Amino acid sequence: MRSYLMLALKVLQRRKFFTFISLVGISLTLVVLVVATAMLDDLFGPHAPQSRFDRVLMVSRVAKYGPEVSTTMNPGYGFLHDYVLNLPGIERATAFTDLVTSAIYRGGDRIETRIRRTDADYWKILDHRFVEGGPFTAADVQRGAHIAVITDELRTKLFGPGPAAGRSFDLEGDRYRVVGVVEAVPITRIAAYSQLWTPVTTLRTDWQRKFLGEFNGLVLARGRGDFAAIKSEFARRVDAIPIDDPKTYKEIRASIDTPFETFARELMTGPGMRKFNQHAPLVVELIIGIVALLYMTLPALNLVTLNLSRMLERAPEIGVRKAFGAPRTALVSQFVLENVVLTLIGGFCSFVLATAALAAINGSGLIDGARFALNWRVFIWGLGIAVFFGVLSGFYPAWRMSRLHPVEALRGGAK
Amino acid sequence: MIRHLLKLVWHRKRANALVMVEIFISFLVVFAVVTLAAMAITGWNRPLGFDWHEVWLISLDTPPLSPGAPVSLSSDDPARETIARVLREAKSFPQVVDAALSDTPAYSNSESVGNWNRNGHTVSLTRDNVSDDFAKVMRVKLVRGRWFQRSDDALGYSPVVVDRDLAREFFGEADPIGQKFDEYENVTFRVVGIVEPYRKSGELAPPGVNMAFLRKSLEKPNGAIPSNIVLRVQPGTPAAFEEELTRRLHEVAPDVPMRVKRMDRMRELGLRVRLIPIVVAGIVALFLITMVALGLTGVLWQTVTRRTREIGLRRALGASGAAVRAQVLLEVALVATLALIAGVVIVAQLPILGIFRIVTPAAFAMGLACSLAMIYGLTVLCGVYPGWLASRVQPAQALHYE
Repeated sequence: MRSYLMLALKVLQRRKFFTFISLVGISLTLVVLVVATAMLDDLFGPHAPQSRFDRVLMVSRVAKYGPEVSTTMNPGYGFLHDYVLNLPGIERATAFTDLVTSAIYRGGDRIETRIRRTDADYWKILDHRFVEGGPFTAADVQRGAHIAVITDELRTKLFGPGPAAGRSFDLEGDRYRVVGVVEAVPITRIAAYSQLWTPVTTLRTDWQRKFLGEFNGLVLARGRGDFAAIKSEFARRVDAIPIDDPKTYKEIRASIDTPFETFARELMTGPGMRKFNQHAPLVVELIIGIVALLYMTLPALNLVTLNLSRMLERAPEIGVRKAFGAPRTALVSQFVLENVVLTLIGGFCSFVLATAALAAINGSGLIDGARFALNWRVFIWGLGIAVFFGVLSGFYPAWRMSRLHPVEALRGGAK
Repeated sequence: MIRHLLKLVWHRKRANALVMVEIFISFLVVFAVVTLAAMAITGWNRPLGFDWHEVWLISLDTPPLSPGAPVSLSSDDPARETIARVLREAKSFPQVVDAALSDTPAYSNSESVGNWNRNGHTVSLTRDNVSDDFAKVMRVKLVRGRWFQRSDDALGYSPVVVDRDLAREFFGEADPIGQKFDEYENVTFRVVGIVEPYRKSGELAPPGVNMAFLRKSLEKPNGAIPSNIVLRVQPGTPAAFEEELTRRLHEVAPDVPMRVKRMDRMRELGLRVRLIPIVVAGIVALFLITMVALGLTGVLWQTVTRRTREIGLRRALGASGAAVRAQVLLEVALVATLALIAGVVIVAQLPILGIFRIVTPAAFAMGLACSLAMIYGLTVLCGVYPGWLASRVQPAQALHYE
């Protein structure tokens, strides 16, 4: 094994130009895949202020199906209150609204901001870092206090440098007092992101009893092991919901999902997509896998042709080994290993390139406050992809090489 | 000559097959990306059919009449009074040129799409419910007939204005004015005017929006009233006016949350959302093509080294260096041609599958021509250095080879 590794490195040094071409190809391929993995991890992995995202479940869509009309909307607060917030055996649950974009006017300036209305438990499930003050409490929410938590970015826009706790601003006809300031949140933190948070009780519409509306439910389980029990309890509850207008709608569907499952279901919701709904997460995983595989096909083909054309150079070596009785499996595994060594080196190059690419994306401002980064999860995924790619592109040339007839190989080549 | 080269290519079919598959896939990738880019470019240069400059948008959070269920045209929207009040108030400002209602304004990300059947052929169309002043606010260009007017309240049918795309798809060469358009709850819709194609999702959206404007009146019950107000302000109106406007509107309708947006900002966001996939696809394709080009150079180089004997023999029999170089280049070009023929055959199936509903023929042709030229150029470029190497092979050295 060790000698194989040494040999692999020696072979790579022998024809520098070919090694260079192969490495460029491998790195360019893997850099795209590593960047994509880092983005997916950023969206669905546990990152502050969503550090507990590995044990949350969400309810963000309720669908009513009828023979002619189907409606899919966010759940309303009434729905969450009756069926989600009181699920048994959970640690905590919160209800919060979707983002709304609005503007605050101050000294002739128009300051655009996103707003989220939440309850008090929101702040206990998500761990925003407060630089000033603190979150609003259950009592604040209860009495409908016009108070707000803002990000440090918004604080600078509103009040300039310096602390802002206790200062006020006008928003959509109401006056709000700042009670806390948090560090800005990247837009990729789907539940934690906003620029301004106020108690849910400051909503002016009739929100409390509504079945469908603009809310999201988030449940914090004690551990991932409880997911199955929570899901089946929720499914049981949804089945038992009475349908208020049975003439129009026949069926109510909702599910409590992990963040990735939520995203997948969202992607697969649409006209004619209804049947997929149950298996949406699986379908999306499959699609991602197939796209990644297709994307690797062209570079893999490229590597295969390169390896094949290098094969002849090694013909005498193969001939000698075969003449001394090396079995074909030994040859195949040796060449595949050589290729894997090559892709792993390419993989490490791609980690360096991906770090640069992610920094460029973060700096470009295309995605608000993006903080894409590599971490050990992405690293392991990246290594896995590199090894897979190495085996994928190394197998066919290795197999062809191992089939060379020793006599022909010793003579210096087949066609 | 070509015949002879074909024989040579066939002789090394296994190696060439892999190269051909590579070129074939690269062609498909380049074609897809270039066509996307061509669509964006041609789309950018076509008129929008409206003017977004100095347009603001007020969105009101009125409770929907009954969510999801079809709204009866004869029912009365309880929010109508509030919306009318806000609209009246907005129009009273000297800075506001005009204001109108719209359900799904341009660049708003919301759409109301449907199908309509006429003489057995189905046309998909986009609808918007608008009030009489909409044409003035959005500067929609009338081609024929007339826009909605106040006296339409007294008509026995519901007037509809369609854009030129929809008029052509629906009525072909026949005169669309006065034609029956649709029927719903015993109300007949009739076309009263035709406007320039109205591309509500903006410059980069695919063509063929097939727009139909339906009239909403605040004077008589006709179902859900749109909860967006588009308004055209005087050029150079400062942000301070926005504050004054929102404050006054909050005073007239204290129970209805509302917010003011600007169409230029919505347009910017909308364009960004549509541009990002094109840029990402472009970068990824560039990576792939670089890789293929490098790989192809490597393979050709290797081939030349392997065929030293053959090349030496040709030189010994009197072929010039240029002739040898031409042979290498022609062989690559031949392999590329075979791969591209397969690619073009595949791509030529797309119009039959109805791609022209999404892509304009011009963009399609542009994508095809550009990608063909690019792939040819690239493969020949990859052959230049190996070809030069081959032309320098000395007969004596080559024949010595073994």
